[in-house]
Amino acid sequence: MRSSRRSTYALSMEKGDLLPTLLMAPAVALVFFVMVVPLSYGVFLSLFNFEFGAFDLRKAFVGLRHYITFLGDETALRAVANTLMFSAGAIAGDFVLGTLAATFIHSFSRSIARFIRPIVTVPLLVSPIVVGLIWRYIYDPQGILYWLMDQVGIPFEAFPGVTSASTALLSTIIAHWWQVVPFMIIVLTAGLVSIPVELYEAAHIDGAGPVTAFFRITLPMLKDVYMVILLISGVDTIKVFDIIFALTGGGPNNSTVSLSMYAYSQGFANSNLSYAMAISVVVMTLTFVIFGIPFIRQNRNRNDR
Amino acid sequence: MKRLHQVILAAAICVLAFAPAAFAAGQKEPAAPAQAVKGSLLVSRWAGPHADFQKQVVQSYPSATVRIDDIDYGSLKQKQLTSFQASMGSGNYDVVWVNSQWMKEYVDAGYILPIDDLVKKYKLDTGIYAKGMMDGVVFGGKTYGLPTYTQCLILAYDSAAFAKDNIKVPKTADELVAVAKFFKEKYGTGIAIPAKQGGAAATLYSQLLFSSGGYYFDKSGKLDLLSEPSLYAAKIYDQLAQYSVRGATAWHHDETAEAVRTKVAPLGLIMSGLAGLNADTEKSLVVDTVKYATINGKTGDTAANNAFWVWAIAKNSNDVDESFKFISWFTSPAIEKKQTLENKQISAITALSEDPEVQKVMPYLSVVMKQISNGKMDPALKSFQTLKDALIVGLSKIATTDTPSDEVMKGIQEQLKAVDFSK
Repeated sequence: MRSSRRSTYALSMEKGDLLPTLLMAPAVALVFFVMVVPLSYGVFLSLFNFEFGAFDLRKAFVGLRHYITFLGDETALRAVANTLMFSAGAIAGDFVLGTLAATFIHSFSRSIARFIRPIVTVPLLVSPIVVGLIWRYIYDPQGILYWLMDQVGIPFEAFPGVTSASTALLSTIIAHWWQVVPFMIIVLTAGLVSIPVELYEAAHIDGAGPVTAFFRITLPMLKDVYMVILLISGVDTIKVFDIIFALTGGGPNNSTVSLSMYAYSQGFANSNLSYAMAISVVVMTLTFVIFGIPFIRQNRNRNDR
Repeated sequence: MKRLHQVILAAAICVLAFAPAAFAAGQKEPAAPAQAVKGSLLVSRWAGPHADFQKQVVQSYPSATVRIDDIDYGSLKQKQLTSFQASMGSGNYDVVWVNSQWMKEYVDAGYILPIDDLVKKYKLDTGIYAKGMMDGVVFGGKTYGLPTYTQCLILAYDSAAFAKDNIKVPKTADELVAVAKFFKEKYGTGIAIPAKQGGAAATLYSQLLFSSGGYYFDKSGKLDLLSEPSLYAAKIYDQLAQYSVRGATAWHHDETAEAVRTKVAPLGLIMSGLAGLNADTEKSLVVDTVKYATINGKTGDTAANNAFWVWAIAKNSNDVDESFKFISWFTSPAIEKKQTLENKQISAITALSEDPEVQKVMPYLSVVMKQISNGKMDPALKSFQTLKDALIVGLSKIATTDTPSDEVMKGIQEQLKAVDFSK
């Protein structure tokens, strides 16, 4: 007994044992070189007028000029607004449609649900750039959407899709939903099966209907799952690039240009690599403030409990 | 003793974890994903059917093995720029296919090599290439590549649809608008144009501008989007968008050409590089009826926005002489004719446009050559991309909103007043 206690104490950091530190070292080094160094390098370069090849650090230093330019750049601010609207619309749809679909499929018998789930998750396997191309053909005036609308008497002008600035962003959001809702179904299904059936049985005995049970039992019990989804979907949508690039190219009239798209065009079309990096840093900061901080607080609260 | 074992164990874990990285770092030349070896050339270009054909052609190159690294057009410049960062002889690209608009940037950064000495050494006659295009590869009195693969927007129309309503081929921009309006109002179709927010729309505007005798800048080099030809070109663009086929505001070149090919539109302003598909019986419904004409300006003159591709030698080429021999072979009359006949590529060799065999397979060649011979180039300035970006968004605004075209052009002129267009 005494010997065991001594060995435990010997392994602790308090006594200066190197083993835990050394065991963690590879992981820490990996994180440092793979994440921290490139990230810091990106932030560092955003303070210069960087160009490929050799450049003079002293002459190229511009301080926060790129960030100040960003604040007065009409297209950049439009991109911020578009990105936030895309993110909000995409996440809202992901939550609502994902919850409805997951609950609906969960209500089927196990054998039918097992059959349906793999089918509805197929869009998840498609690359976002291909999703954009698929929807480009769906939204083409000669495509299936307008054929269907025509069949039920809805004119093209009622929903001009990607051809009009008024509906282009919504069109990209719909394409996003098509791809991401299956992911929500998978994650929410995992949450749904973990809810004890006894809770529903007790609610039923107390006279609660399906709607009451959904709002009083299902939704509260899925709270933690929603937080995870919010973080994953939030980070994913703030960085949106592929779908918009393939579907609209940022148009019409910049109505769908996102921050990542704008950073890309500044970096590789205009060769303003440092400004592109500054935009990327803004994207990273936005993501952290909007989605990272709430997630950290939620985790902390849960740990405190 | 026990602690010593623990330390040894931990150290062993660290060694195992870092061994692969340390081994890789110890190598003098890290293996590049697509690396050329001695006796071979690595060539960079964009991917697609055109590249697939060129891969077959280069197999017959006699003095070296040529490997084409073809990647998606959208990533091409990015990959070339990354490749140029490697040191000399480290096995990156030997030869790069460069858009004429990127030339100045590449030359200024020293990414591509001048070839004048090699031209003399191997006695290459550069007089066979169109002068306008050769001028586009000369910077500071030095030649930086050999031009090839030119294309521009042309008018393609279904002659049967025109004949049915006794429509004449438009000779001015106003007549073009009138024809588009006729088809829009009578049949609900209209003209196919690439009006999606992107470079294609800017090319169309510039071609209308150049054909009307204008340019982006005035004689003193100041931005002049409010000149009479510029406002006229913007107005014509607005009207063409107004009388365009439904959906054209989301179309790039491919969709525009497809609309003409599939009879969705009786006429369209298509990129000449896509006109060859009109003769494909499996893809085209207008094989026997499609005809071509120049896109004209206000008074009937025509001028292309001359854009072409240049074979250039990368600064870090492993074998500069072999690279030069390859690009001069690849742009020689015999190989260019082969590519023209089988790959529908319009070369920079002027004599080929007179070749009856070539004219037979490319009925639009004379139209293209007429426009190109009068054409102008976008300025090879880094700052031009800023203007182009603003034009791309402005033209999209013109096409998709009710904002008058001259108001949009005024807005762009005002927005760019502080930009230095001398660099």
